[in-house]
Amino acid sequence: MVDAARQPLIEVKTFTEVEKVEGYVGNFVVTLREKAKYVRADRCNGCGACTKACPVEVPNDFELGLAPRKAAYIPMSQAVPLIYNIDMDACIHCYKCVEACGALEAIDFSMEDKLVEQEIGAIVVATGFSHFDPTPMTEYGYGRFPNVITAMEMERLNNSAGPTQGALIRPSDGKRPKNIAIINCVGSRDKRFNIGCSNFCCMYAIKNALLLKQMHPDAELSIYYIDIRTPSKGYEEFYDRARESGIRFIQGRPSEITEDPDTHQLFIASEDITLGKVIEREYDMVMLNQAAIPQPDQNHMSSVLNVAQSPGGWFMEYHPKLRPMDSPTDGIFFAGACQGPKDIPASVAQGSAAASRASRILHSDSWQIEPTVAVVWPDRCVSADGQACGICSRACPYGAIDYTKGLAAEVITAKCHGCGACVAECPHNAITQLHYTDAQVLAQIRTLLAIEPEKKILAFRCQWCSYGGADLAGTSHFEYSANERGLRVMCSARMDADLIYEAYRLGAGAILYSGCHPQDCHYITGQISGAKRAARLEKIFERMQVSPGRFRTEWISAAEGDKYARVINEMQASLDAIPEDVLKAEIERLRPEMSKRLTKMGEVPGVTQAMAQVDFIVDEMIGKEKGT
Amino acid sequence: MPDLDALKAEAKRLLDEGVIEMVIGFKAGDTPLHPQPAFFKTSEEIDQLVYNALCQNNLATYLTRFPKTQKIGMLVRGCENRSVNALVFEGQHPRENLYLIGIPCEGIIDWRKIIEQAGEEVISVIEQSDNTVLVESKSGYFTLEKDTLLHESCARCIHPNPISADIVIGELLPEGDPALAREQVAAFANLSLQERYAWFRQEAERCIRCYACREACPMCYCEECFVDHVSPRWTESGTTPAGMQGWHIVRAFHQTGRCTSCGACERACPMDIKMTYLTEKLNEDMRQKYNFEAGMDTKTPPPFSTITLDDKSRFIV
Amino acid sequence: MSGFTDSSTLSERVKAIPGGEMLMMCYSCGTCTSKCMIQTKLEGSYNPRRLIREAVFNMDDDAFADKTTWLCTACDLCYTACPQKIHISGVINAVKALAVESGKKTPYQVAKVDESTCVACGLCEKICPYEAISLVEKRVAFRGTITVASVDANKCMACGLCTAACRSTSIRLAEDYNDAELIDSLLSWLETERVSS
Repeated sequence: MVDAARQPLIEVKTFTEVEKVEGYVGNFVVTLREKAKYVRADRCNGCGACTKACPVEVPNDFELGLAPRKAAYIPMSQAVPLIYNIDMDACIHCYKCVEACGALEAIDFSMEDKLVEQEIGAIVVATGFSHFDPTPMTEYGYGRFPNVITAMEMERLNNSAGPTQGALIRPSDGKRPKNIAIINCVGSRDKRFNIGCSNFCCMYAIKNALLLKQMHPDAELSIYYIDIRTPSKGYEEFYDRARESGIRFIQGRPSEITEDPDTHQLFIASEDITLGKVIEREYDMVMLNQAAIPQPDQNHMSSVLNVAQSPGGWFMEYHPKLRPMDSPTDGIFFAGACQGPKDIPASVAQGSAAASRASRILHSDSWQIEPTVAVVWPDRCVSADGQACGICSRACPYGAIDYTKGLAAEVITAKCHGCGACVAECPHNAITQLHYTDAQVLAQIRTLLAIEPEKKILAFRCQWCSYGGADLAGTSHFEYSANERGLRVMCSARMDADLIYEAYRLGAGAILYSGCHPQDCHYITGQISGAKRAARLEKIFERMQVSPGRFRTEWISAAEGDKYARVINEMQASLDAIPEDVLKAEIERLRPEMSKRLTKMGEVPGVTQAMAQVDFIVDEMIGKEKGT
Repeated sequence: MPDLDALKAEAKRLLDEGVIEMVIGFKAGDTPLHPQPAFFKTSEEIDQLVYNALCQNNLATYLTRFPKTQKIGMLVRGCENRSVNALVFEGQHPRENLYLIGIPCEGIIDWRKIIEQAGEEVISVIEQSDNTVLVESKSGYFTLEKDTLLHESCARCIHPNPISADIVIGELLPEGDPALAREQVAAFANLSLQERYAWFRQEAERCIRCYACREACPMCYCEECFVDHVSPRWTESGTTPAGMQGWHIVRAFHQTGRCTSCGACERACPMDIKMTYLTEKLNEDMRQKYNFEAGMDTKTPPPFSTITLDDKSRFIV
Repeated sequence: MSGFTDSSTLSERVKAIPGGEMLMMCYSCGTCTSKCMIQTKLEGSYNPRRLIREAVFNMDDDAFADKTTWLCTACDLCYTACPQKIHISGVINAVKALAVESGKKTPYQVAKVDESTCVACGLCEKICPYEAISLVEKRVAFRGTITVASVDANKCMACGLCTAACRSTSIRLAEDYNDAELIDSLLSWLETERVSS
């Protein structure tokens, strides 16, 4: 940190909050709130006279409340920059600090928060993680039993710069504990609190146990665990060393800690899995190795940065394997545990990677994006005529469409990722997606359904997941009906209702509407708008009395080849269950209804021409096959 | 008093139309003081039907002696109606196989009180409209105030009206005052432990273990009573103090939340033992602690016959 | 592509019974075992975690003979403690149902109804915390076809609540804690009370 602060090209802004992020890759405008420290950075020399003079004491957050601090303080001795700060919530305005500061005149009670706008090329988010508070797990008695402490409290107790100058003592009586237990997975791998594994706590428990053992060789240490996870290089050897040094590993998650109220000794009952017996053991002190959880204001940051969150609340990366440090928004990157719990080596690796990804942007004059971006036909956009619409702008997961009433909607191309949600949602067909224009997709549908359409299963697949699933079904040799005809779009968000109507109008037997699972979407919330539309369509077709099984919605990942094959086979079976004459009659019955819904399609540029072209080609090909 | 002719007419109609197979009611007994329960199977027999304030049996007692499939009509007063409800709840007769002919009850006359004033050999008892009773005995004619003759249970009756009868014959009466019942409970409950035990011992001491109270009670319908159980034996079966006290205590507890305060047990007792001070205390506890009165409907389980997850005594769940 | 799994195995059958669905979610942490009052206070060889393993590995015989199968009172202390939110008593109940289906009987006693005196007042049915008692119509010697209480041996936990509640002593525990034993201990307690007072 000190090193970074000394770099002339790095500006460290502590005690500053990001209020607003606008713009796009290479051209962000970030609004920062520089909070008032009431100490002038240009004058403070870090002497600490103000702290000595300050009469107010409040709990010290950094020491987890184990020690007090003054109202004039630095959060920790390694703080960068080393500038004092006055806690206005605690300050009693006695001005003793001003007196103590004397001729430096660094203390300035008139300071106020400052809002600063800065132009930024790329953003690396490294907001870290927070700790689970074990108080709600009443079975472990944290908060009730003085000698049950958290890992972070142990960290401070065992630190030479900590509140006890490194003397390990029991909170209840100040004596040195001999018999210490560490309980792993407190609040993690627990469906009641946090479902995920916190990644680093196994190694952290072993590290702490070894450290304690080295400092106090007579201490007895036991680690309670469900599984010990040592997945990286050298970790297993470290685990070996811990066992060698006499640390006891007990497989079995304790169900309860009880306390002798007189001596404050603790008793842990757990099943020893290997023995298959319940054992109860006595300890002087218990450390709870609590779960890593997202920062309390992670949701707020997520909306400021416009980046999505994974189910656990962590920031969601663009792709878990291929782009783990990129956010779905170009130009914003993640480093460290804000994206998911990870240990120091992994955080450092991701931080370096994120920095190099960011520098790529800073060193380029131009930026390449996917070519499948959306484009507005301004003459078709009703907003230009003064109508209130803005549907496209609301549909965009990236906030890439500017909508002002009276002006045609405008796509900020650099922000567009090409999911096609706006194209499908626009009720006036005023937006198109390059390479997936209505004309192009309709031409494909027309071709696929040219011969015996009532026997076909037309499958709309999204590029990233269900198309991959179908691909996997093929390469894995999972057999599925040969009547399936696949059609690729970028995202289920692009699967326009008009496309489905057209397929039915042409007489498609059955239609599969498939995409990714909601948490896997490559376009943040693309799948969600796709799923909403699918649900709407299902209702419409139910009202129209479309036979059940002719329209189906399924979310299939690229790994679910078997599911893809099963779904298609099931659809084939339900199609087979409808007698041919009934099906044909139904198609004829629905055709006028579908045509009615498609009257405006012909106005869309290129569609009519494309249809004529397709008809010509198809006729030619059929003619060739028949040998005429 | 209900119109006897109307009662008979209704009973005849029910039998003639085949709604029911039998009517449980009263007919004249061997002495004018004791009308006796009767089971009428044809409309001709109905002519013998009698109903007056000396009909002291709780007719619900006989319900459990007939098959559940039999369609039975029954004269019911307030207490009898509630006893029937409690029996229906306990599955002793399906309600759909019952036809209850309700009679709002002005109270049962205690025949012992007539004898006290008119002497042993009573020739006739006539209820008069001015709430007096004209008694003829060998000692002469006596005009007695009806209110002074009422049985104690009836004097403090809370629900004189049949609450769920299929038809009610006669005018409905005002509800009784629960304070009277509470007074009786208080008279016993406010005594010291020693006084209460002395009272209880004095009453139980006279018991001859004839079990007339059990036979008169509609709720005592067990096939085998706990006192008759041989192996293991739950209580001393002789007329020992322990045996007699055991019987009275357990009998009262078996009635908790089921007793409808009809007083049939006391009326049946040849030794004139007071028993309702125990059951009334338990009934009052049910009212106070659980807001429950036995037999008010056929659905609500008595508090002691059920278990809920929020039970205060979490000894089992 | 129908199924890699054989639906006739114990684990699949347990999963098919309502309550047993989450069987495979167990990661064997042992919290349930150390939380269990039966295991800590009554029967040391009782072990819900082991029973789940036995079900997972399709060890029918071991699972059906396991005391855990028969002793669970469904107090659900373990359910509130389980980090995987597995309804463990539901799984145990599913194993028990399958054990009964395959003809196994509980090695522990259950309440017995004396049909010659039962009057079907329904008190036991309403008071049973395990819903093990129902009223059934059946032919009883010397009494004809009547309604009597009937105990479902698979649900009865022999708690004795019905025995205590029955007014006509028509339902009882025959082995441990039977009536005669209780009367004996009650009498001897009274004797000592009498002596000491």
